[in-house]
Amino acid sequence: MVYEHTIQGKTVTLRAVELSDAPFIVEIRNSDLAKHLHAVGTSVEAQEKWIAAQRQREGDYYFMMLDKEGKPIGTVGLSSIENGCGETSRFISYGTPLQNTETNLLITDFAFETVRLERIEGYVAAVNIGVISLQKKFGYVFEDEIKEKDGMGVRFARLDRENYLNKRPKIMRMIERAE
Amino acid sequence: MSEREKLAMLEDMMDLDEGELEADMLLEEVDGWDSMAKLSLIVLLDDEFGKVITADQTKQLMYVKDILALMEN
Repeated sequence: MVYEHTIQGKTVTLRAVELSDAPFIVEIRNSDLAKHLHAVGTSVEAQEKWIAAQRQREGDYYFMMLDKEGKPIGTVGLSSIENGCGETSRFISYGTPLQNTETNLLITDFAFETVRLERIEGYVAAVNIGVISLQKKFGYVFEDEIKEKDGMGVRFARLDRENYLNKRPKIMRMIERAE
Repeated sequence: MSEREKLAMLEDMMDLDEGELEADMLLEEVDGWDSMAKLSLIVLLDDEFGKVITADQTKQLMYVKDILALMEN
């Protein structure tokens, strides 16, 4: 699916991924930053085909993160949308902590306010302590149990709209204060 | 302010238990050292120590003691 509008933040802009973004995505998904994500291979052509299919797929949004000069700095997605539930996904970024935190806020706002989800669920690599810690501050509740998924140890996480709305004001204050 | 008091402020900021942080710890191995903690640090340094750093500069911090150095008056 394609969200036709841009999502504007203080330090980042999100817009739907296009076929022309394939070289950037191949590059960042083959960098050290991608160690907790699924491999996408090194073929730009294959990535273009994947993006073309994603743009047609129901219940699946995929965004480029752009800095305020319009330069690509990462990606984030909202996928597996079904019965009021979805999963934030494909987050990878060269950005600053401020840009990363704001991106997490924008995609969560998009999920709850635009798509009108009731909850977000998903799995996070158990060793990805930075993301787990950040998600907890957004209100995610993590199961203690570590499961095996696609050859990776993962923990299940769930965020309800109400939990997020309780945490959001503090996150917004931090984003407004930081440069 | 003693080093222990500064560590206590950082533990509070990162939602860690009292006594969990030590100066020589590598930040990337600290559970609470995420993007939000880095933003919280920017606000803490500005409010309590009159130091202004950017979000980009927080990426250069490697050890807890690097933060403690910024907390010197």
